[in-house]
Amino acid sequence: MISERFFLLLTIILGLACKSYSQSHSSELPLENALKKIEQKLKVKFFFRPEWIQDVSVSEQLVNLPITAIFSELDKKGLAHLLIDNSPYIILFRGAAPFVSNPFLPDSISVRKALSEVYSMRGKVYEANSNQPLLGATIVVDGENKGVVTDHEGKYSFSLPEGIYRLRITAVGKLPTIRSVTLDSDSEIDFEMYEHATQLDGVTITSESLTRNISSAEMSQIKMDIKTLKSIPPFMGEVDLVKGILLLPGVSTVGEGASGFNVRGGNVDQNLILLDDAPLLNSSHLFGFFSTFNSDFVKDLTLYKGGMPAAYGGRVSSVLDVRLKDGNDKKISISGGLGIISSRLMIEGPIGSSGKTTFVLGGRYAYPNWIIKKVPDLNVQRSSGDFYDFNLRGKHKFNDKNSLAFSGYHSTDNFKFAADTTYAWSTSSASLRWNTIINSNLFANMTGFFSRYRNKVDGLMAGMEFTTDFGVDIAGGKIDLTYTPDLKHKIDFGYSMNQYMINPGKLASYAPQQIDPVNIEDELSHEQGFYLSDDFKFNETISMQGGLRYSLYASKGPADILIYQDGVPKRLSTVMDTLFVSPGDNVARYSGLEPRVSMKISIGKNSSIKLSYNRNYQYLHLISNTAAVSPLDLWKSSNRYVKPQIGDQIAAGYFRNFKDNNYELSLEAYYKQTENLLEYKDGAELFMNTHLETQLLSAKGKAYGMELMIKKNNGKWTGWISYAYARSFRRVKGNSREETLNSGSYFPSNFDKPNDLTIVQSIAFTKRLSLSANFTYSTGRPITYPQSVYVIDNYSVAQFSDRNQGRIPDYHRLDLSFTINESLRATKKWKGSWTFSVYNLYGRKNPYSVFFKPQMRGSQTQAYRLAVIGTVFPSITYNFKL
Amino acid sequence: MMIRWRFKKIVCFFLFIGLNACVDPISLSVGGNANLLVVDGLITDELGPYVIKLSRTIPFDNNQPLRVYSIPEKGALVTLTDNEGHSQQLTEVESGSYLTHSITGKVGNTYTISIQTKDGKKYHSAPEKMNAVASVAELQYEFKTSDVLFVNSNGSPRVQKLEEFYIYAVVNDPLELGNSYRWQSSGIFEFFSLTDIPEIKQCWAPTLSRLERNLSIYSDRESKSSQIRQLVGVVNYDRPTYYQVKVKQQSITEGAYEFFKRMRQQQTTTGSIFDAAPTPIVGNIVSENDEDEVVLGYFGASAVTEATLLINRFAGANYLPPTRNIAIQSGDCRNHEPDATNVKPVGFN
Repeated sequence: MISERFFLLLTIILGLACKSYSQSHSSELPLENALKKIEQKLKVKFFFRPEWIQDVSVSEQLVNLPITAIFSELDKKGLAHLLIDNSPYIILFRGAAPFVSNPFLPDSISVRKALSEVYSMRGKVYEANSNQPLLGATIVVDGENKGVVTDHEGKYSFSLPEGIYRLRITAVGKLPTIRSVTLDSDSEIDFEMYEHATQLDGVTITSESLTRNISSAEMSQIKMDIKTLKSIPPFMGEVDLVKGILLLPGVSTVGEGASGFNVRGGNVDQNLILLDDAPLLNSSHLFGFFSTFNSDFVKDLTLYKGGMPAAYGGRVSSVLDVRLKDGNDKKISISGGLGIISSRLMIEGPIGSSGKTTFVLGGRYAYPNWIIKKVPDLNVQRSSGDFYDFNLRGKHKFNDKNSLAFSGYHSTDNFKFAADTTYAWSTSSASLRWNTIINSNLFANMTGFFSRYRNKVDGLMAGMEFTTDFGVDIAGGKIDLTYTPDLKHKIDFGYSMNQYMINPGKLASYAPQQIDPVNIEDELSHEQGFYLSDDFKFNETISMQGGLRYSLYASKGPADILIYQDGVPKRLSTVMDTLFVSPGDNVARYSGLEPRVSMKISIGKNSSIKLSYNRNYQYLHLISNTAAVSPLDLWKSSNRYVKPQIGDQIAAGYFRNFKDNNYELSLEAYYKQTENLLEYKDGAELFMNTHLETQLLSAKGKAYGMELMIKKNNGKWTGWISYAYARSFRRVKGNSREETLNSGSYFPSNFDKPNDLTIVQSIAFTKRLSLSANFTYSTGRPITYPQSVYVIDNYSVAQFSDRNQGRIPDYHRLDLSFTINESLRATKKWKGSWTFSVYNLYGRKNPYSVFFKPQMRGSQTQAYRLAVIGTVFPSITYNFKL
Repeated sequence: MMIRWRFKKIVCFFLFIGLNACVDPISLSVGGNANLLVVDGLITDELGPYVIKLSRTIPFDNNQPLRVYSIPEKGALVTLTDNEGHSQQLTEVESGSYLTHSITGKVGNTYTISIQTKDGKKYHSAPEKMNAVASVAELQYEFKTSDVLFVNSNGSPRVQKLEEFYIYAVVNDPLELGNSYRWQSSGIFEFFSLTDIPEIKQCWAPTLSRLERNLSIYSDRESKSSQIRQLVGVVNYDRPTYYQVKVKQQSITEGAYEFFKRMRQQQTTTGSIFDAAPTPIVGNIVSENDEDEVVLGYFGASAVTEATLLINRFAGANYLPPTRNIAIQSGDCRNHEPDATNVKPVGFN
């Protein structure tokens, strides 16, 4: 340890007799300048805190005095001095020298040199046991009030004047570490952090630094690590990432079994989901009951509900950035889990002995058939299904400055319904990322990625055979650079390019007498983005993150565009002409500037106020007119008729930490407005529609809300309570009745659930036993109720009028889970744990929808309630590691 | 569309993973803007008179499920006009039912009705053209069996076999686009009594409900195929006897097709989250006094062609008796079923 090298000597060793000298009044100069001259002359180095010698000036003559005389002159100015053993270092103090009581002085302060060079310091922070890079560790320089946070590679960098610095490194769930470093040249220093001694102690809620929530300019974002996810009671034994973020304020869903999630009143397609930089278009297995992320692989995730950094673009509501593990570089390790409907296996370790190359490989398989066979419905019993996914991640470190990481993913769901229809959908992604350090102030990341989403329906009924398929391919690349010219700025800039290739639907019929083949022409488009942003710290109180993104989009031919008559609703009957766009020509072009600004103002040591504004463009849209999106919904890129969505959000928040950062409080309010949302005409038909624009309407979205969250981060008892009041509205006001909904006034969106309360609590009784519970309550979602009923030709018909004017009953649910670790002894090779969980503990039949259906061959209308999980659902999982 | 519908069903199967009934009927009453005018009428080229029914909506209320769903609109003045300049006022024969007299619809003509209600408000329909109708090339049937699982009151599952005849209409659709169809099917079945008296041993009676499980409609815009094969009804195999299916094929307008399609959408909802939000069913009647007033229903005009099919159910079911056979009773067969007759209907042999 560097600090141990330092010894203190109470020095009068250079004990030449003090000799008075005559003071010249002729000229004085600032002490800092004088010290610089003395350093050059006597080949020593002075360290101090700038504020100690501020406003001190000394006679020019001082420079020419012997060192002892200099010391006594400084003494008169109230500056004590301290020599460091075996070094030319001299530390100056203001007032009484503290060294008497603290012989290891450099451990307790940071001091810098006079008018010195600025050197860069960079390196990595590792988790000591697994040797995994640690994201979100904060390195704070004592006395300088500077801090940086490690990125997802565990890297940090900053620049400081030459000096001796005390660094305080913190990360959630890790023991705080304090290190002293002497910075006298550009340096690279790595740090290791150790787990808290009590392993079960920490249900970590975030991997942010303990004070990051109050000290950074970023807001509306939440980081969650895998430990937190694992503490949430699992459904059917599967730890689920999307289920985890649904417990955060501002994130909601239409209901159980709905794919995706809604952030601050936004649509499901407005979330940019990144898996190691590759965008994923589907996040659901099993029609939304599970998410596509295998939680064993997840290192951490960050959800931006607003205030997105300029580096992200392409979606209006949120960014979910999921990072996977790098793999253990010390030894091969195997882990896995066995559950009632799914199991997992993962292997990770180094390749070769150098530890420069690591890999993680694993997968999941689900086998719900044995439950399906128990369902008292023959159609269901004749059904079958499964899903699987696998991940491969590898990393190679060429040298200290260059590393390459690969991440690959594939998932497939297959379902056969009642022996006559099969449904399959799959998601694949791959990314390759090269990190390089160009110089001490400049980092670069270059990433190439590919992502594919496919779905397929096959009809197997004799004489009615058909097959449909749909898909989206995204290929792209980006370059991101970070430049840190000095302590006050961190400048990020870069460029990204995405190409979208969409197959909007093909239907091949093996029974052309019954079903017509359909082939909708493919859509090709490009999206590019340029961005520049600066993290700028004005002073201790105010810091700002200002960024600008410019996005450009072009949809390319070949395409046949139907031109409709002006001023009347688009219908096949109002088609005037067809425009043929040749290959490579533009079908439509859009571009826009996207400002992203956020600002922090500290109030005292423990709290701050933050403000943010951001604008986002979105060129890719999900086409779905059902209450909940499904994996079989289609994506569409912007064209002549589908304009890009433009979202603006302003947010303000108050953040405060209590009791040594053990408790965090955040209160945020936001207002959001979105242009060019897609809505659908009454009775719209979207499936295999070659002229989709005739079914679409353009809507304006409005959402506002308030989110309150109190978290306890440390101790045996951890968890959070959050409450959100959130509203979300749509307005469709067209030129005709057909193009207008609800008379052109705002109506609640499908996921407008004003009150949302979540309590997540976890208690570690002992190191081996822990109990977790979560409770959620939310207002029932809006639905359209019939106003009245009438009879047409002996059919009873319900009369529905305005959309979403009713609500289903409120939703609430309590889940519990109990985890027992078999052994915690480090020497034991096999480590197992049992998790018992109960979903929906009090068995509430939470209505998913209320609907109206005729009985008696249509002569009567009855209201029904549909509950997806209308019972208590227990499960058990065994997890192991060796 | 069938594909979409199947997908809705698959969701229900996940609901079942909860091993619990996922759908329960509930009581719900929703106040609303009831008392809207509903028009239900059709002019055809069959012999008249034709009936136009006027009624008012009532609030939705499941607490009183047996409530009458329609309040007749009495005392209105209903006038039918056509493009040839004929005009006649209809006569109210029973509450809310207005009848034409001495008029037969003509293919190619355009019909409009106008209504003045007792409170003085005026309404009219859009002009509705009576299109020619293609003839039914053939009626076909298929015998289909399927198993349905019921859960007994004690919770034990019970498999029940369904044996049914699916009735299809085959139509050669004319080349030009824009033809829409609606089929309505009814049936007459043959049955026997245990008596020895020949006159009252063999009877025929109509099936009281419609045979189509749901609105049976088709537009040739749905498919490029020139031949249509449409399911128009389902007949139970509950007796090993002859059954006569009568299918009326209508040439509805594209507007009427859209109207019935919306109605069918509402009838087939499963309430899953993958259903589209229910929407208003817009008809072709508007108010002259207040353009924002919602008027429901449809006034249609259609040519009609009829076809019948006699099914030897026993032969169709491969000479196996029905699994769930309706027991043969003794005595006068005319007393065994409503509207039964011992006079052999036309078409039976």
